[in-house]
Amino acid sequence: MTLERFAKLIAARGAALARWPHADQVGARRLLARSPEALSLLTKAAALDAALDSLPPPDINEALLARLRGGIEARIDAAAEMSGGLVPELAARRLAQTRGSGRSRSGRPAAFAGLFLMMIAIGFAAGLAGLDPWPAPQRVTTVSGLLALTDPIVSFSFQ
Amino acid sequence: MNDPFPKGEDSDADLMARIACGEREAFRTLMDRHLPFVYRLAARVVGNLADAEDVAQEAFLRVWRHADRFQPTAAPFTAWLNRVVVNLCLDRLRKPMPLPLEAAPEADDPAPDGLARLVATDQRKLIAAAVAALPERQRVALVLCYYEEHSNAEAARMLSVTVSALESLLIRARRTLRDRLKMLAPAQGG
Repeated sequence: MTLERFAKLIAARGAALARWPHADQVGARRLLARSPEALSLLTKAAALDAALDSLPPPDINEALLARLRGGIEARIDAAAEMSGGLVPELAARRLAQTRGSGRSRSGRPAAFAGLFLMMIAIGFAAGLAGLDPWPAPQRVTTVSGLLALTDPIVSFSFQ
Repeated sequence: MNDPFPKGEDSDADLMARIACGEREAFRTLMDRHLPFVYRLAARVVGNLADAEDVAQEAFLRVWRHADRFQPTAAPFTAWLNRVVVNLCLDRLRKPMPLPLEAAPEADDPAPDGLARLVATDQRKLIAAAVAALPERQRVALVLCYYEEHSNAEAARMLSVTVSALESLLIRARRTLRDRLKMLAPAQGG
């Protein structure tokens, strides 16, 4: 390991080699064994590490955790009630997704088939009754007639 | 906050799958497992205990709401949760904070070494203030790598930056701290 690499690592990770990338630890120890400059950098970094280590970890006790758990559960309950019921919001969403996907799998093809059969039946019944369910478009041969089909106001002005 | 879970218990990924179906008991198990870590990380980053509680609560609300979006094949649950917490902390740090740190209540210390303790307490406050004054991303990088002992690659993912950028954040954080703490003790450095 070069001194430059060592200096960069120690500037980022501090003096505790155990916190360094594993692959760099062996090289760092070898460099420290032969380089006074590296040792000096390590000593300076250790002073800052000691300062950082002097900060106590946050106090975490059972009362705090119980309060946090209670707060979280209360907020979930409140969100569920605001969404209109006691069903958790996420469960409600998944329930809706499940219902939606169920329709797409089984309900939609059945609906299309029913519509198709109904159209055939209407056409067949209309044919028997002599009715034309789809009459031919009205023939329009004049400009005023065309306008009368499209825009009653304009057609009125032409009449 | 390690992924290995006690024998006989559901893995985090299993619990998340059950939570996605609305199972409250699975949510409680996951919360018991990770709440201390989440609070500790939040407290160290935001520095304000009330804000840390808010961050911890909001993080688990997001777990509940977005459990169905969690993909165990993409990343372990802990990495996913870490990222949620880091983002919440960054949001919190970007808001104006009138009080950077919560001072612990102090009592008169009649012991013979009381003065030394007071000096040590004052020093800790100065150090904590120096950490709290770091720009938010530098502070998060320092907490993740130094206190939580994440690798550079892990911390970079949580901060959504490259490893090189993460190293730069760490170097700047430590340099800033060293310069500020020189006022406290000229011998300190690193």
